[in-house]
Amino acid sequence: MTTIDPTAVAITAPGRPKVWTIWITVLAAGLLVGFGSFIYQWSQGLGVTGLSNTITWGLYIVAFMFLVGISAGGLIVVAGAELVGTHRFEHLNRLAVVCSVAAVATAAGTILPDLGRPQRAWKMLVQPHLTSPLVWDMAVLGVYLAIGLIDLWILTRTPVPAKALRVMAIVSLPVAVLVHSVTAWIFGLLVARPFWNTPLLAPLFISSALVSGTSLVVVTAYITERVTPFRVGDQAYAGLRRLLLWFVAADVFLLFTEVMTTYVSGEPDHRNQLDILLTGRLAPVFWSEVGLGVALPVLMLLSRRGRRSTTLAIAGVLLVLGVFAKRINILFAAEFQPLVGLAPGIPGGRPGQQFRPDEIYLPSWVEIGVLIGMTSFFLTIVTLGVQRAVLPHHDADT
Amino acid sequence: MIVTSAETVTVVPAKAPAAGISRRALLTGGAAIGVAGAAGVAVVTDQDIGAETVLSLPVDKVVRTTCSPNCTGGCGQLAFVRDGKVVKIQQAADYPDLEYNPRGCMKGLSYHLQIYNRDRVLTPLIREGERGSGEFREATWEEALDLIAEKMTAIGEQHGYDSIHVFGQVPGSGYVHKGANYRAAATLGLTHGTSFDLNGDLPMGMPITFGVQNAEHEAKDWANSRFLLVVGANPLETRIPDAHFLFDAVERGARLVVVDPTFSSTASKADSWLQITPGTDAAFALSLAQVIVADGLADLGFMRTYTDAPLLVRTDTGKRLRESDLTGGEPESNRFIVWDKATGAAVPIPLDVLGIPDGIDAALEGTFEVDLADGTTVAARPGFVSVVEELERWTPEATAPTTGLDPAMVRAVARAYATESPAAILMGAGSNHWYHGDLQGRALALCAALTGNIGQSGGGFSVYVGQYKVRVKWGPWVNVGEDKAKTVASIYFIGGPTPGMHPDVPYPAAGYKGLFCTFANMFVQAPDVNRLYETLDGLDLIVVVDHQMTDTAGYADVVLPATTWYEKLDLTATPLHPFLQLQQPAIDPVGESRSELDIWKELIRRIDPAKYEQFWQVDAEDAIRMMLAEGGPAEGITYEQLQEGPVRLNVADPDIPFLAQIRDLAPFPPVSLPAAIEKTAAFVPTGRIEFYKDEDQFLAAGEQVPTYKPPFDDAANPPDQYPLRLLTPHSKWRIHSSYGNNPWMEEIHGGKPPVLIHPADADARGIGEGDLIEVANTRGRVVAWAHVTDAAKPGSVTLHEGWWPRTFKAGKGVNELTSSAVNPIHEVHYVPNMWAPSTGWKDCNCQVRKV
Amino acid sequence: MSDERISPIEALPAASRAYGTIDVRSEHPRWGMAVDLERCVGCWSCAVSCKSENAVPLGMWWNRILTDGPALDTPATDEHGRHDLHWVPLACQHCDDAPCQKVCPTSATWTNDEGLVLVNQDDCIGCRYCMAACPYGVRVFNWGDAEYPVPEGTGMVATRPVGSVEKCTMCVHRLAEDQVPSCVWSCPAQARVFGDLNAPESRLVQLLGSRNAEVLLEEKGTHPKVSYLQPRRRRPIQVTAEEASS
Repeated sequence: MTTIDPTAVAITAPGRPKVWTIWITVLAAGLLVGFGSFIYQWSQGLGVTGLSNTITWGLYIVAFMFLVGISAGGLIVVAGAELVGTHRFEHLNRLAVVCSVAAVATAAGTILPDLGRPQRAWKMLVQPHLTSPLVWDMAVLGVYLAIGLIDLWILTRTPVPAKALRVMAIVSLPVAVLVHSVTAWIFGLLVARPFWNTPLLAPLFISSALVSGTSLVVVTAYITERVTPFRVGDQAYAGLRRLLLWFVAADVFLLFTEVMTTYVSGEPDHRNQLDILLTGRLAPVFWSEVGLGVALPVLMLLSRRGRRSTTLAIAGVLLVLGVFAKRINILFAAEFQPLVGLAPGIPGGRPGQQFRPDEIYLPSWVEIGVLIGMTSFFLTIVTLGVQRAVLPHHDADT
Repeated sequence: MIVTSAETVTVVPAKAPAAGISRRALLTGGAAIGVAGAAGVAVVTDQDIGAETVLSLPVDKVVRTTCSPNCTGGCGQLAFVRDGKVVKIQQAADYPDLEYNPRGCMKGLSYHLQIYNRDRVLTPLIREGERGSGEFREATWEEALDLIAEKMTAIGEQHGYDSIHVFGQVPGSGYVHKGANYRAAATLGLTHGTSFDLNGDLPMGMPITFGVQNAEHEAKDWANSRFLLVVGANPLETRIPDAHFLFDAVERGARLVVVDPTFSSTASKADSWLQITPGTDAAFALSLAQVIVADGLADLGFMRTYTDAPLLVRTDTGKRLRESDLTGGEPESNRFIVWDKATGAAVPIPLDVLGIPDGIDAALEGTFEVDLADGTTVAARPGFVSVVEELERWTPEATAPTTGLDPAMVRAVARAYATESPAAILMGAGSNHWYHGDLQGRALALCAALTGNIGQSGGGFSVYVGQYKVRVKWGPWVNVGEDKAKTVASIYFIGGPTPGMHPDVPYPAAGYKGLFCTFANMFVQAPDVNRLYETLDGLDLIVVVDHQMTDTAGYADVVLPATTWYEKLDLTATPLHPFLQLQQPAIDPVGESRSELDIWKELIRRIDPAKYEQFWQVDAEDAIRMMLAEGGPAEGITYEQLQEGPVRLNVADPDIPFLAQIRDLAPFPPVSLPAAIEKTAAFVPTGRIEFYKDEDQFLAAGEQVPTYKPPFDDAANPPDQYPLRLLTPHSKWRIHSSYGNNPWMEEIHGGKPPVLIHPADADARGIGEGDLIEVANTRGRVVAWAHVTDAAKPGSVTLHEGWWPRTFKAGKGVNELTSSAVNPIHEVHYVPNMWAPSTGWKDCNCQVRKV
Repeated sequence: MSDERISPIEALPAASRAYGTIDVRSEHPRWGMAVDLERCVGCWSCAVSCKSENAVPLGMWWNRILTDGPALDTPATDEHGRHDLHWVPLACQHCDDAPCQKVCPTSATWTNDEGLVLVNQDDCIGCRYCMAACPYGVRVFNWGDAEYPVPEGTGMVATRPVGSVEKCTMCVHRLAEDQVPSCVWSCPAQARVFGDLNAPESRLVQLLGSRNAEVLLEEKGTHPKVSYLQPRRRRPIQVTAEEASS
């Protein structure tokens, strides 16, 4: 088995040194922007975001939900394949785990900029309130991150200890399910938000996670294939394609069930919040999600060119964006319509802001800056992981 | 896979390339240090509240004072002071009549924002640029006072001191400092203006009918009613501290009926709401009276005993018969005549006591032949006949097209009012702010008299509008020796003398050359402001005394910073409750502000040092003691008692008007302080409640008995072009324009004036909720925001008075459109603030269009 | 700075202090409140008093007076054209089963032994989970440095730090000195009644027993300690058939 010096080849080969440098520069710049935005926000207070007393959770929480979601695919693909006994994805293992780890680490970090007083975040560790789903989630994410790192360590041993891998697979699968369920329960256990307060929320989060997580693996693999000697192979792509189709089917089914139940027989509070998605302010996002984020990629995957890696990658990107849109829908549909929405509304929050019967939310540049930082952070870990964990162990002959 | 030219690829340990790693390490390391550093800084500077959840902060002291901005609340407040600043205001809730507690409202509770806000005037200001340009320079008191004194002296010597008009708004809000304005006018010969009438609040129906300035039941008496008829009044928004008495009454089983063109806050609590066409309250009241009489529900005994109903009126001249007509000569007391059915003759009845003497059966109907002293015979009828004749024109069916009310409902209301006793009528400015507001009041008074509800606890005809009432004998304070201030009704200041202006009005021969305006946003709140600005242009001197930089202050030549009532001592009272209260200073004057008394002392010292020496060596406490010493309602009340809290005046309990008249048959009218009784007794020469007025102007106008006349059309705004009635009620978020700049109020209401318009009117003009619209007539225009609601009555729009000009998209405010024509009936007599032209704000019509 | 400072309650004149004294207090009080929707005139005096007492910054309100209609102070109309206008004062309901408390990750939101749901500013990390969890929307957040309409601030209690959540405390600092909350004191219509739910002789308990009282969002199971006394039945003047036809 040969390994590849990632820098000796391709990227740093004569004629293509700039790509790597540009990439590093972009990541560094992104990290700086994120960090700067965060510090600015910390000094000024969260008022510099687009948040308000009505829309009190915004882009950060959307990103949190999303990132937790996309962390699924990796470990589940690895663990699932291990348990089922297929070797089709074995060479993608490390990549998948790197994706997961990057996503979990970023997700956990995303909570920090959302706090009004990040300097007190340690209180959650020292005096956690055990009835709070947020505390459960921090614990479970921590375990999940540990599992990911352990998995990565195992997978970068030569040879890979099969027994350890098996044990990890058995442990990580339920933990993965728990991660998404607990994240769902942050939202789903609140009587104040009928749209969230459904037993289907946890399964919905899991199915969305599977879709987005697997898509992430597809896209990352595709890009890595393009810029490094890493190879995926038709078999793996085919397998991922089939997985994606099944995951999307499950996701669509759960969504349909939710919408159908609420629409036809649901109680008014729940229905009101759903209507925001179907015909109200979020309708453009919802129907884009359905059209461009679900229908289109499915059609692409089912088409004649569906097995091509490029098609898969594009479909993957669309699916990921679709899931991101879904997070937006989930979060804001419940926030746009508070249960007690009588005139004149909820206090705006900042001087000069009157009461808001109706709320608009647009992320401010600070939030976008932090998001850029988080994205850079994620990509940095992925790059680091690909460079140090994936490529050196990639079996070029596979 | 891209490979190098080498055949095999060398094995290289998985180490990061040198350049990339070190850059990355640098970044990561730097970031880590940065985060740690920031965290450290944040932890160190982060406020540590401690385990105690809420800590109460101590204060230096608490001072009990009274909030008194001319809302008639007169609410005791506690000012909490810390480090010389008021940090909280809370109602004192210390009234010995516990049902009055706590009083207060959201505006008074946010007054400390007014004390310290950015519009507070802190130093004297002298105008630099053009009037209204807003260009002022700060000046010392010396300079400002010298300048004013100099200019006042110049005007005084050239035109006469009476060419300077002192406008001071209503006295009840502070007898010392409002009184100081009067005292100064008396000292220097300035003319003092009027406020109760200019505000449109003087309910002329009262002096016309009862001979008093106004007479109202104290608010707690509402709870004793079994039936409350609220006409053109919105106590939930305008008498907030007293509104609960309506609920107390209802809890005891009373019925609440509200008559209002708009579904107001008060209407929302009513058992029945009658959506009347604006300005037709008189027609409604007349139809109530008609039903009461026709159904035999009238208390004719009351009418005979207390009113001019039995007094004979000559059918030829329309004048009342006097004893001198029957006997000739000039009898000492020229008594009035009734027809005695027992003897079939016309007989005089006493003037010094009410009632009908025993043995006389005074007729209330019929026409009788009376022999006069000069040998002729004249046909005469009791005054009541004219009243009843008039009523027959105004059956519920006849008035329905005018009022828009269902006749069956009006009939039912009349029967309920007449039988669910005691029944009270509460009339508000919505009814009075009309050219014919006097007719509205007279018609409602008639209903009260017909049902015997005068002078009864839980009954009455009460008009609540302004804090006009002088409840102490303030003569020694406001007069200097024998000199009283010359008082000119301020409507004449704004619009000049009218042809019918009463000769008693001491209008200056040279016209007006100067204005001294205190505690009033006159240039925003006066009717027909564009006309007022024309008048102002003719003035040599405009001085404004205020603590807020209003648009009025912005148009002045000199602005003097005033103290608020948390910074000075004063004495206050209100018509709504009979408690005398002090305003006591909680803090030192803010900035360089001074009280009116201090300002006048300094001016008079400059203008007339001799009089200063003689009459102005007094301070606020002296003034209060002076007024208390005069007794009257304040008999036995000491300054020290007042320092402890509110003290009830010497009035009946409950304080109800006309008790001496109803119980002891004393003639009308009771005294209206501070007028001499002779002046007001002239309003009702019969000494009885008068529903028949035989003065020439009444006869000429056809208004000898209460009648209905449609809203006044001044011909400036033809109804076909200006089809919408513009209603301008008082907003609960302000006291007129006070608190218009209060940040807390603005957070609630949003700061953008809404114009209430019915969907039918809005749709016809393509106007939607929140659209920018123009409200205009030939006098002016404003641009504001539409609020489409079916609470409004089709055909009328509502724009609350008092919005500061800067809140509008365009225009100086709603008073660009309003005006005041002077009603000749209001000029029959002249007693300032008691019988004087009362502004008719709501006769205004306008057109609305989308901008 | 004066050395002679006293508690604002002790500084009250006797008559004023008597007005605000809590009527009955049992061994282990459980504080509650009733808001009389019939007597509420929508004046916001209680909301302003709260803002003043608790130094609530500009842009924030702990107490809001909601209009049950299409807009502020605007009546709702039913299909028969009948108007209805009434107000619903809303602040923290101090629920027995508070969803906000369950979700707080650091136990910053806690219930004291007299039933009041309070926020310990020391422990609040500003995650705003409680704001998402509150069905009533009564919590407000310190989005930045507090600003006051007067430079020195107002109020009787310490202010809260940037990045923390705050809400009605039922004036726990006044209860400690046997005085009713500020909103109860300042209602000019006496529409608010405060008392000890564990004291049957308290005016509050008697009122809850004799009037038609409801809680908001009862179906959510939060068991609020704030009740709303419903508006009264109206007694409109009836037009008899004979009157109508004549």
